[in-house]
Amino acid sequence: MLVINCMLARGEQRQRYEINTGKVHSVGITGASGCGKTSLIRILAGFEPRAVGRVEVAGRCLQDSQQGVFVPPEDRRAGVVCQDSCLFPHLNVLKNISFGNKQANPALLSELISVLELENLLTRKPHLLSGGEQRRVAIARAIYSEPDFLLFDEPLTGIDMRLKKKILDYLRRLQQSGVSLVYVSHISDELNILCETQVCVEQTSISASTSALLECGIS
Amino acid sequence: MLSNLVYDALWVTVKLATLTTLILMLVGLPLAWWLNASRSIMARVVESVITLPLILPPTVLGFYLLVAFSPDSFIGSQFSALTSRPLAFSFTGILLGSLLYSLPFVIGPLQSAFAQYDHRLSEMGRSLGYGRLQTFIRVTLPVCKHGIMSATLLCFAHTVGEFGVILMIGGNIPGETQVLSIAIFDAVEAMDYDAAHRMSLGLFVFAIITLTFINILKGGGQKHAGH
Repeated sequence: MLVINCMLARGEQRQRYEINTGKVHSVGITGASGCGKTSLIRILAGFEPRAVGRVEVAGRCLQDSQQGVFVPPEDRRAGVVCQDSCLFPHLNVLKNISFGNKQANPALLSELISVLELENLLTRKPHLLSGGEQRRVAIARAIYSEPDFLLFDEPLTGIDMRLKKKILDYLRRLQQSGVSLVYVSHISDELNILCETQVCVEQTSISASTSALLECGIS
Repeated sequence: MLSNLVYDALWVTVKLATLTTLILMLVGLPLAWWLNASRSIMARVVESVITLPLILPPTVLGFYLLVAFSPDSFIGSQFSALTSRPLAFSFTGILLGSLLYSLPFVIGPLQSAFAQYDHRLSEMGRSLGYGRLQTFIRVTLPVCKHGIMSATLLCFAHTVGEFGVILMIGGNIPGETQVLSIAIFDAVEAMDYDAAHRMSLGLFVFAIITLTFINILKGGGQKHAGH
């Protein structure tokens, strides 16, 4: 599903990703904090046009700096949930969720509102929501845009166990219906339930210089 | 009752402030966005030039504009050739002067609104299927709306309060270049204190109301920042 061979320079630090997950539909990303998991999600989402190398998701080349290929974020059909939700502060919950779907899909909308238990939050603005509530809205917004693949960066932080289980079940069903998933988490239970394979991002110092090499292997 | 002279001055003032605000908002939005995003030396030079009217005496700016607008200069002669009217002492002349003089009052609030803006919101907007421009219109502008409204009000109010530059390049022609602030100066010179009082009180109340609105918007903007 993921074939990545690229390098991202951030200041003086260089991060290198070499990943080939083979034919799976869901990939879990683990690793210590600060090792570059979020950067990997950003590369896949198309937020890092300066990444050098090649990025392929589900057989589709999204970025290849040698051939001058860069598919912009709006054409990648990725549903992104970032760590701090990034909800649009000027829109209420319902408008946030509907933002990415230009053709209304009432069945999917009510399904998401029910699974994520958002019924009582729909008219609220994001600044009136708790962290966990914001993440639930962000998950709904990403799925409602009907993407080809989901990029979730620690999406269930701050959500209670009962609801977490319900959301994990829903994500599993979604996967079975053909949506690919890249899921960053350091909670192995979540990864074991959702992901067919897991990639561990490791940070290893290659020399005394300030650059760092990240090697990713498949477990 | 207000005299025709006051009505004329009020009309010229409102026309000048409205046109200045409209043009500067159109120019200011992309310019402030670029100044905020760019780390180049060019951007810092442009920023300094734009900020000059804040510290330069209006008479200095007015004097240079008067020289630039004179029929012997390149700008003045080109304008006369195109419109067969002189640029100095015309409404177009004071409009150009206002545009330069009020530009920093638009760029300042816009730049600080854009500096507070969380760019990840734009990334999110794009990943949800909207192109660069559409995301700017649907996400960036509404999130920064308090800063944009502040800039609009400040620009309008500042143009209404303009005096020195217009006096230098406008020539105080009633109905053409005489704005309220200059009409007040004229009324005092002519010892018509009644007219001076009426116009001054009007501008005073206008200034208080505008500043109150701007301060309300500032409070709202801080609550609304996309962080």
